[in-house]
Amino acid sequence: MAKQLDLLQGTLDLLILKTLQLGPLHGLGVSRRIEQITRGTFHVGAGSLFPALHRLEEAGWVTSSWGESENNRRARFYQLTRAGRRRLESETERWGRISLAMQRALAVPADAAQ
Amino acid sequence: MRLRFLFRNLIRGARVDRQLDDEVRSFVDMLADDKVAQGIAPEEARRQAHIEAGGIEQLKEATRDAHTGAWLESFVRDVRYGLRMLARTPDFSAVAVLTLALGIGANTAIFSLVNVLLLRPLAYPQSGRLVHAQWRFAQGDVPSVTGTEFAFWTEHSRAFESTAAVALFPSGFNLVTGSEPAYVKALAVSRDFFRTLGVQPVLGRTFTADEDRPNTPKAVVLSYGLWQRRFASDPGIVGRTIQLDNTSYLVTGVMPKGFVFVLPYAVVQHVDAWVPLALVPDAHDQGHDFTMIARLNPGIRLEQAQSDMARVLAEIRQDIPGHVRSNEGGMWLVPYQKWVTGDIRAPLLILFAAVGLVLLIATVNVANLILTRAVVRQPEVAVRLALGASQGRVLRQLLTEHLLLAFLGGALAVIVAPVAVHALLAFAPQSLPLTAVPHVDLAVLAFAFCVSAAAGLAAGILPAMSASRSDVSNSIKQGARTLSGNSAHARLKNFMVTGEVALSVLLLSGAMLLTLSLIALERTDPGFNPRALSTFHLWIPADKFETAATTWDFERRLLARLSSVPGAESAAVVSALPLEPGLNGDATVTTGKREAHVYVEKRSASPDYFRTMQIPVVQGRAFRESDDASAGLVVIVNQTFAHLCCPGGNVLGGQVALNAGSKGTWPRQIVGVVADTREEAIAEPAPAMVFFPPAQLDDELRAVFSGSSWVIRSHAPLSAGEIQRAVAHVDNGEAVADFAPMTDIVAESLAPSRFITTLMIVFAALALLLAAIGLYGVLSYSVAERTHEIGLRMALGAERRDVRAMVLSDGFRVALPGVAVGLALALALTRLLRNLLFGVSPTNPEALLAVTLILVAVASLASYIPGWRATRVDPMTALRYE
Repeated sequence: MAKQLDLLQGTLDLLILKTLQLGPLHGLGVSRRIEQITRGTFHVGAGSLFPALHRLEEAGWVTSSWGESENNRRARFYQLTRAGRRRLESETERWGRISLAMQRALAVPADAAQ
Repeated sequence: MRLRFLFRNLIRGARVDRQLDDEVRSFVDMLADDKVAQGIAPEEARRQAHIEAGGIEQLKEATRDAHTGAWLESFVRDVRYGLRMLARTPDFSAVAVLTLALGIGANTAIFSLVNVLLLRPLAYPQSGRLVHAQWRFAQGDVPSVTGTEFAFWTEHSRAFESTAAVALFPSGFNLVTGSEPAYVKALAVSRDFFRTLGVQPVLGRTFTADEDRPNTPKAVVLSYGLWQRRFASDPGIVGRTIQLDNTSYLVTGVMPKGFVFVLPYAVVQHVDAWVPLALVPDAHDQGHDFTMIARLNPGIRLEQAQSDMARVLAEIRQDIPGHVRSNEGGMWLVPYQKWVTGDIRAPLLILFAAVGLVLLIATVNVANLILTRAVVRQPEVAVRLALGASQGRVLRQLLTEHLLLAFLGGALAVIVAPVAVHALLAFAPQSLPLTAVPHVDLAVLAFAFCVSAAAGLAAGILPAMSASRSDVSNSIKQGARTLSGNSAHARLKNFMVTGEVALSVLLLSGAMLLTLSLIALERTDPGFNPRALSTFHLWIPADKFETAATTWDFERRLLARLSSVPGAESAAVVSALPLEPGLNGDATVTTGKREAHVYVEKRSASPDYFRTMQIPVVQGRAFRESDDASAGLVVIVNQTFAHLCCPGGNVLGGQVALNAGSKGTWPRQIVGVVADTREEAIAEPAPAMVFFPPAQLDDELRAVFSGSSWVIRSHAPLSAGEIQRAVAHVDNGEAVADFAPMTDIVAESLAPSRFITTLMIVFAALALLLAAIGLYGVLSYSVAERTHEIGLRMALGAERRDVRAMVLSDGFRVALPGVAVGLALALALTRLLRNLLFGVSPTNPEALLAVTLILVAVASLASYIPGWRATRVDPMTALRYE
């Protein structure tokens, strides 16, 4: 079973946007894909996923429409908007800067000179 | 973007919800499909899918919360739900709303007074820059200056943008328009008066420098009210001349509607017109006859202006050597608004605090009601929690319901408020320094809103918090069992009622003390006999009788005429009656070899004055007809004067001289001492007084004593018509004004005390009623709770009276600690009333004892019905239900 870590809202939004980069997905698909691309590190339950998807839609970064799933079930599909793509880019870049800085900070040995 | 979604969520809410439902279900279905594909049986797969997703309703709820405008939508839903719940228990809702309406309404009415009197800046532009000059004496602050002082300050001070001198008291004029003379009150003001206040006339202009000089054609500025009443709002009034006291006055302008200038010591505030003061500095240095206001220069602070005053005072002492004031402590500047409201600030705040306590008690009662009802609502709350609502959510909904109660009460209060304010003003004392009419305006509405919100929160927060923490499974199990014996609730409610009782004791003690004080005031001997006395004012036109001699001649003839009116015993004229504002000033007394300086009230009084007023002559004699211009100059003083200047000795034969600055002194011999009379107020001790016979006043002194108040003692009440006819018989053209029995004047002087006392009694009564209702409530509840126990007792042989005694003792167990705490609070806090009390100490034991007895009686009364209900318990029925 995948490990469950606390996900900040912002990082969840980023992950969802990333999963939609290649094309529209329905809710379950997004959840599966997140688990896939994080190699099982993050498992996003429906309780966090649905509010996040709706929030992203209301912010204008994704749109939704009814479609058919692979099992011919009626499902709600989400896809990136142009603004969403731009948001994905900027958030990715920001996340990169943050993680680089954290990496450097945490790499300093405990007894290093100030 | 968000806005679009906001609209969608709020207006198309049902459709959004259906879509959400579809989406979530499809998610769960697909999850189940996955599991089936993994080989799990379909039903098991569905079950697992549901658990993994977390439940469909919870998912939908969580998603809905993420929608824009979710809070608004849930708020609206809460309000509608709350209204439905309140409608379902109309008894509870009605009582709660009415109780809160009562508390909020009383507070709003008092606040409208506080708003106008204390909070609102005066209706003048930048009214914070207006200051008022006062002399500080050992006896207190005197708001008056002499003409010389005013002129000097205006010239030499650097702190003021403009200054204005105002006559201390309005003068009366006879206005003749058409056939009937009317009596008009006019205030004499210096040229810059309107400029200092910063108010422009709505028609025409104010005075020029020329018009403010003596012996120039006279001018007058009319008030809006006078212009409406007497001149039919004639737009051509400016430039016309009118006849005041048979002299032509040019109307230069009309002031705006509602323009008011308040003199805090004035008995009645309204003035019909303004005339130029025409100050002549040298001639008028005899008395403190004017009051001075000024507008500070922009950028000057009060402290700077104050030091400037000190500098000018030093200069005036150098320049005018005779300018001596006894016991003087310098001249001080006070913000005008503070001076106007100074006296009423403390009593008004006390009333405000008292009415706040009433609201507190009302709030506690409502909280108790909510707690009682909360028990009934418990199962419903439990079900909601079980369905996945967060505690915060339930708390919010309950709180909304309670706030709804409060705002309904507030709305009711606001609707009724104008009536309450109107009633309040109707019996408020005339001397209330109202610069505007209190009414329900924006500030008052805002206050009502805030108070409602606070009351709703205070009443509802604890019950809501405890309800939303319900033990879920227990409550659902017990279902409809309403009286689950929540003992923590019962203890809380009893505690709150004890608090209510304590607060009512506090309010009742205050009301009791004020009542005793009022009774003492009304019983105080004012020093004269006000019964069977009729009084009126008559203004002797300055131009009609030009000299003191002719004036006194007129007065003497009128006195003779008045004495012969059927039923009249005697008549007199005095410059100011007791309890009317009069002139004062310095005097120097020489007795034997000693010289003393006294600050005195000075009056001119006709020979029959003391006899008419029934003021006993204690030493020497009263004035005689022979005390005229040809005889030696005499005065009569009162007992306080005698004690002040020669305690233990004899003041008769001593010489009194009024200090008159640069002018010569006026030594007169003291020939009599009369008993003290209350002058400023019944509550104030008698001041030192000096009386002059009108026949011995010279022209200048006569001009200073320009007012005349007439008194007639008669067997039977006289009518204004009789008096007017008598006056007309002697000289036509004077209007009799302010005709009133002396008892009315005495009553009006007590009006402020009566006002405060009556309000306190009303608040105490309200508080007591609310506390009694609260006590009744908890006792009823406890009797209902203990039905089983009562039935048991009765079955085991308890008599009805034992049961009643049990309920009574329960009532006392709640009330008596409250009484004790309340008495302690009273002992600590009633000292705040000290300035309002007369002849009564704040810890008067009789008062506190009376309060205790009243509370005991009320508590017994409140226990009566629950006690009676308890005796109606049928033991068989009670025991059957376990």
